[in-house]
Amino acid sequence: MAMIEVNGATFTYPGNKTPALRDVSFEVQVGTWLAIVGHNGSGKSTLARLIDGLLPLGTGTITVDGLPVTVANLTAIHQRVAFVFQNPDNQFVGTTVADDVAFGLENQRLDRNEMQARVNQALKEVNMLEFADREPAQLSGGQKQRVALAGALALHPQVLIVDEATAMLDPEGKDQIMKLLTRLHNEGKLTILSITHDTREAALADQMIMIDGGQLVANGDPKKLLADKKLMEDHQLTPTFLVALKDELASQGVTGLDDVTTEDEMVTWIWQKLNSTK
Amino acid sequence: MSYRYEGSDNIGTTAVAKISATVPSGTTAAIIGHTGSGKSTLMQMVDALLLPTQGEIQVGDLTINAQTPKKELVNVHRRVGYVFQFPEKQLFAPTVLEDVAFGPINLGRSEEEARQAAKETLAALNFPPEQLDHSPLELSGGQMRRVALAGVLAMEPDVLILDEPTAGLDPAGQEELLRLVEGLHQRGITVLMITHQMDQVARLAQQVLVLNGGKLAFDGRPADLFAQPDLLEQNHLAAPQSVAFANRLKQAGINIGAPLSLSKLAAKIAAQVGGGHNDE
Repeated sequence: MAMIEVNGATFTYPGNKTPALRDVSFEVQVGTWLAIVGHNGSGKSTLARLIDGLLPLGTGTITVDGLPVTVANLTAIHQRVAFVFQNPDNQFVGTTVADDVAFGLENQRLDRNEMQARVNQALKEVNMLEFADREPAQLSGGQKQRVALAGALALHPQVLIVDEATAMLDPEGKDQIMKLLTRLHNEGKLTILSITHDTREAALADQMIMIDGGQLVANGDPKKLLADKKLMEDHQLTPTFLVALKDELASQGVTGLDDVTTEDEMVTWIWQKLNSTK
Repeated sequence: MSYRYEGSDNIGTTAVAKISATVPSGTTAAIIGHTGSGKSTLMQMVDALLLPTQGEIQVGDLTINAQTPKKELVNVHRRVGYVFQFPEKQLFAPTVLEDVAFGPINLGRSEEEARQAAKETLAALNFPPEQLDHSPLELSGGQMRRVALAGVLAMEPDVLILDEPTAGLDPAGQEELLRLVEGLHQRGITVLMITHQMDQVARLAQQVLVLNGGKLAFDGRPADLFAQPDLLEQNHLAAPQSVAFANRLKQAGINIGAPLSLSKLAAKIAAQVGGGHNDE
């Protein structure tokens, strides 16, 4: 069943002539992890904001969980979709970390114990429970972003949209968020939309769409799309490490790498090459 | 030197403790360490935005310690340019040129001189001259960051501190910025760069300082750091991609050392599979 259906979505920012997004259509099934990639200004963040109803759609339709994203349905949409933005500093309101995570729950009329339990559970999931009583201002960027993610998870959303949320994290923090997203994904029901230009992050997804100049230019299996050197170059995306290494090896006269599609296969290929020439 | 943050509870947390290090003039040094390790605190002390609670800091012939009077700190601010994270958030003037000229005017230069300095700095950063009259807010993310950086460089600092300069930029914008940092190095500017990107450390830095829990865990060449997987792990750091791949080959019994770039990695692999000899 489709959790998100986007049909001919077009949007133009007020005062602009060129649409930021033009005739974009795709579907995301329940429980799918979708990576949305594209260079800055490609329209990928606009798309995510349209799905959450943060921007009003021009023409076309978008549905989330069968509900059209319209002003009338906005409350229902926001109950289903949680958003984590790139810059954590813009999303803090509470005086303590726990207050901040609780803030989003205050509209949901939960009793105090339930609220407390959800806040603690969410902070535990992002490994920030010990910081519950700290002031958000005292946290580093990475810690803030984990708290922002906890705030989203506490809402128990059906769809989680993360907009370049790991761009500011150190390798360990990034790894923690990636593992967390992977775990949430494996648990099944959460549909994840991650906007990213980190190809390693995109490679973890089940489905990938590529946006350039406001248009959908590719939709498919991330492994296949990321390995398509021409597609990546045409849309100003950095090739994956594997593709770059294959390229560099080819330029140094190493041949026979066409069937190598993962880094593990590359290690095996090199090993076999060494052990068959000896 | 050390620095304690005073929390609202008045207990305070020691943010960096007893760090001693020297960065020679003209060096690009990477300041790395996982979240909360004290990198930003240390850099704020170098620019005298924070004064050390103990110890002292020398920037050129200037000395900063807990007793340094406030009016002397201005001299440090003149020597050291600090480009904060997401510096484009602080762009405010109606045009690019006025935004960049603001710093030199603040340092007491005439409007004419300041505009000249701004034009020269922007030209040196390959900023398109026809966009000098544009609003900085109309520019792309990469261009906005370039303008913010020009605003600091127009004050002609000897030392430039960059805090995560490529954060939030797309790959094309990141590449542009890294080339720019390489250019600064060639111009003899001392660059202190806070980064989480180990590939940038491998590519740009001659010296790397690793902070962990406010303490200095390593001070030396990137090649020496990345050749020590245990040290990286203790400090919650990753290896650059080429080193990480070489480490996987090592686990398969193929030792090609710790190549710091993709081309070095490919050369080492080519030498092996081509049947050549590897000297390292």
